[in-house]
Amino acid sequence: MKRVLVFSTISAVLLLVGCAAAETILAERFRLPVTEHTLKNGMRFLIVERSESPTFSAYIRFSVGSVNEVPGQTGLAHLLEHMMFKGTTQFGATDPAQEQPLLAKIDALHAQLQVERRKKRLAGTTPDPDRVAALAKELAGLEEQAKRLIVRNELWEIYRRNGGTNLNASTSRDGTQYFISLPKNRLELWALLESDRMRDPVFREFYTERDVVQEERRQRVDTNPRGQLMEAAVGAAFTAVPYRHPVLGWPGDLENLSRPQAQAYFKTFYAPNNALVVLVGDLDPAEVIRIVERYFGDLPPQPTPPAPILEEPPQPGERRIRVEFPAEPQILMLYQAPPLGHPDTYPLAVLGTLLGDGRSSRLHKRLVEEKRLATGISAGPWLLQYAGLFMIQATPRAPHTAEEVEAAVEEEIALLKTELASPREMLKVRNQTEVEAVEHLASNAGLASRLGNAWALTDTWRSLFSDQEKRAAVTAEDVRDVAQRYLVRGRRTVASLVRGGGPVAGGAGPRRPLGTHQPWDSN
Amino acid sequence: MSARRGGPPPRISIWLALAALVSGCAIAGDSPQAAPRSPGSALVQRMTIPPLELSIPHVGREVERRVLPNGLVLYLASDRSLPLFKAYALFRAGSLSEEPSRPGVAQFTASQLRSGGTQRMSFTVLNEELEVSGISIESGASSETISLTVSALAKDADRALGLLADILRRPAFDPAPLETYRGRVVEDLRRVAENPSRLMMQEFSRVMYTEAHPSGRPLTPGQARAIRREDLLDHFRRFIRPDNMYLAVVGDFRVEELAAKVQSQLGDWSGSGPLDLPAVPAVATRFERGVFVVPRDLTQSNVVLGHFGIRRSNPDRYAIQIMDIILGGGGFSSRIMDRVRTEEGLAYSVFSSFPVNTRDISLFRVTVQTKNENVPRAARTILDEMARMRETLVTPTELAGAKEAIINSFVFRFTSRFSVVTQLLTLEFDEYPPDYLDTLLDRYRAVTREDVQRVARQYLRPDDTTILVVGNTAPIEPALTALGPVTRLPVPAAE
Repeated sequence: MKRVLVFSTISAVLLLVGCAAAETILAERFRLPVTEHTLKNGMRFLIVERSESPTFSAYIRFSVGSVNEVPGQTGLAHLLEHMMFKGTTQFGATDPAQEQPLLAKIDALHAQLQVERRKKRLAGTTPDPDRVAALAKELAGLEEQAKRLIVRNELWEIYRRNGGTNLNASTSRDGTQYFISLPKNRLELWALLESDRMRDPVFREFYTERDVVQEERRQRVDTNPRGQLMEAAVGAAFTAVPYRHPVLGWPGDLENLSRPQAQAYFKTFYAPNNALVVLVGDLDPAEVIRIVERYFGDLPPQPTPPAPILEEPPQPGERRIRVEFPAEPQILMLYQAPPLGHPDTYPLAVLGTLLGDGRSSRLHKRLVEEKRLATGISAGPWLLQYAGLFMIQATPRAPHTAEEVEAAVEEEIALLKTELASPREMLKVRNQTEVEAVEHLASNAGLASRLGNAWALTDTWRSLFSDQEKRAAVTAEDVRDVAQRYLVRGRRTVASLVRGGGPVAGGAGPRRPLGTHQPWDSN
Repeated sequence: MSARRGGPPPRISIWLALAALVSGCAIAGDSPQAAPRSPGSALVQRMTIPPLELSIPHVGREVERRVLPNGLVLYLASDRSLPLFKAYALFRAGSLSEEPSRPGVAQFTASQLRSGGTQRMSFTVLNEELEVSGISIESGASSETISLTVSALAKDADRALGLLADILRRPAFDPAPLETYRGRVVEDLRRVAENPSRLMMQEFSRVMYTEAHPSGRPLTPGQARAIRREDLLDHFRRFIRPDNMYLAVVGDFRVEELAAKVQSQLGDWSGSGPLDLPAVPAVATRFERGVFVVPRDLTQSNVVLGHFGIRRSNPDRYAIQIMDIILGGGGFSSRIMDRVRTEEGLAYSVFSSFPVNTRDISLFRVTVQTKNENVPRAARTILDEMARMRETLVTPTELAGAKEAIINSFVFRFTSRFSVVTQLLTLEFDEYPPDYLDTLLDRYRAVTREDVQRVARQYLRPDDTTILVVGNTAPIEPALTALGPVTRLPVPAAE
């Protein structure tokens, strides 16, 4: 097939295609052929051949997450992720040349509006309502004009018509990732669309999408007891590392984010040398390399800022927080843990499985089945690039309280520090890990995400497999040792959700039989 | 079963998972691209898409079907891709088959089959046994089924199947795990009110189906407390038997080996007396405009708009699915998402769902989460879009887009041997004809713009839509009244 000249000007200049250090290896045990390939611009690709069905899954990851945000701009990484679906110069508008100046004017007006509104927060100044109204009116007119040029959701529409499934993206503290699964004959289409949005996105509909994300925040945090507790608890457990702020951003920051901020963030972090791609499916690696060289090869690399050096200071002692919300109690215990890749993280993972994985796990058996203090409980490390937490979360079962749950958890922890786990228990954890490892290979999309995540966070995708081996090698002594060193009172944050902070749910008096409300009930 | 594995939700996705589209068959070259609109769309149109071979799986080819002398319907397939063994069992034993005086018994029976131990092995030993071998057996109940899923390494296949057989043939229903489970159910029900989307769906079902139908009587803590062990045994004896069982088995073995394993564990099992499946109460439909409010003082309202839909035997189901994809079930390509989220920025989550695969009539609904003051605007927009589906023909591009999405993604229905086998089994369970998958794509292809409008007129009822809001509606009372007579409902009390 002939090369489609997508971006004639740029490709003319930068047509020197990266030649590749392609390498074919067998992923241990299951004989999955893996090919690694790096373009000249630094963009890395991994191709895994699995011919279960004539499909493939693609995972693109940029090494940037909410941890890279600066004060006042929290939520930007996530909003930018949404903006990546809004089109490019090529896609998403009928006349990009006409659109361009309109978008610039809209930005300028929003900036003026923000200056005016900001007066509300400053001492001795108040927004001028006439000025606000005039700006809003002018904005509405311009946005209406811009809207007429938009081809809405074109990326989604093209993918969907071509059989794409699971088109999605997500932002976490350490990374931003984009997913799609397609029939295998759409590989080139994928390369066209993805390279296009890496090259030249246009963040149209920015200010409307900012409203959408505010609704997302209301849905996930403001009206959700677990979201409330988690946000408060994580904000207390991390002090120095920006993991403390929510990926969704603080509401006050979110409502003031601007399109130029998103553009600057994109330019810095969405560079080919800050990206990696994993493709898993019924693919021919030679053909994939040919196509990605053609489409991604001329993306210009950028100087990306060196990764920050971040470190969470040791806690001087225990932190406790109480979160009032109109809901039944929940408890979260967060112990300071080392960052990803630290040798202690493997015994901590085993410790999590032993405590909270499955019906026969210690916490479940003791707190849910025997003492019946809780309806559910989970435990395990949450490992990030610069710091980690070992988390235990539980739902108390009335009339039992969060305090009773906490005391029972502490008993179990104390036991772990004094007695070694039995050989059978260690065998169980090893077998569970093994089964999990095999099942993780069963879907293209799942394997692509796991490989990509491991690759981005440890610099080698092989860590997906070597980490499993390291967990399997953990001994009962190692587990006791990390329990003694990490699961200590002075290194933890305990957060408890307590009913309050609003009208009480329930207790609305006896229920009227519903039949009486039915207009048709007499029928 | 422990609670969800630890860690905060680490990732915030761009949109919520949408209900999977039910789909059709993917052959490339089958896809006229959208008319060029942006400069880039021409590039896509010019792109050559090589043909894709897809074979629709068949009983007798990839999958073998047998019926054991005891009535068990067995689907078998070999899968050499990974050293795994999987099984999936279905029984016609869901909540619709409960004795009216014993609501919740199907759910309790499903749970305690797995959690209550067996006559040979106490529940704690069983849990240990399974987890030490890394074998997973989980069970659940829906309105129509009790189902069990088994997953193990291939080397443990015999052990896994043996334990499944023990669970099905000799469950102990030990009182201790029953009490644990009961407590968990009661606690969970106490917390319904703090989960606004769950509260919304529960109360919407209650309003629509009314007490006259089991779907309109969500389980109460009192009912959960009243369930006795004997009720579970009765439900078990009546429904968990080989002549009411549909079993799919897939693994890293030859088909004959798999068949022999099942035969040895379940071949000599029999139920006592003839199988007696109860008549399921029929849904009585009513279409009436009204607004119901469950007051919750939150910053965002959860809103559902809907009315009665169809049952799976309805021949209009294909046109209805396409209509629903265009209206609100097709993600960002659908009209409701386009207006409410993309254009007006009123919501993160908004979509419609017109179920077409239920035994009896189910509910068409549109759900949206938006800040309280925007509820009337969002609701009005949704009702307008429902009306527009009736009033005008969909565009050729919309129809083509919906069909292409179905046809070109059809291949994703068959990405693993296990999903192929469980689908074929489920089709038989749901009484679809054997050629269902072969003819499916042609049925979608045959749908015309006129068909879409016809089914919209017949099955969408914007003027008789019931709206239910969970949220703080105080600031918007007058606007709500304009949408229909308002009834305030109590928040279910934590008993």
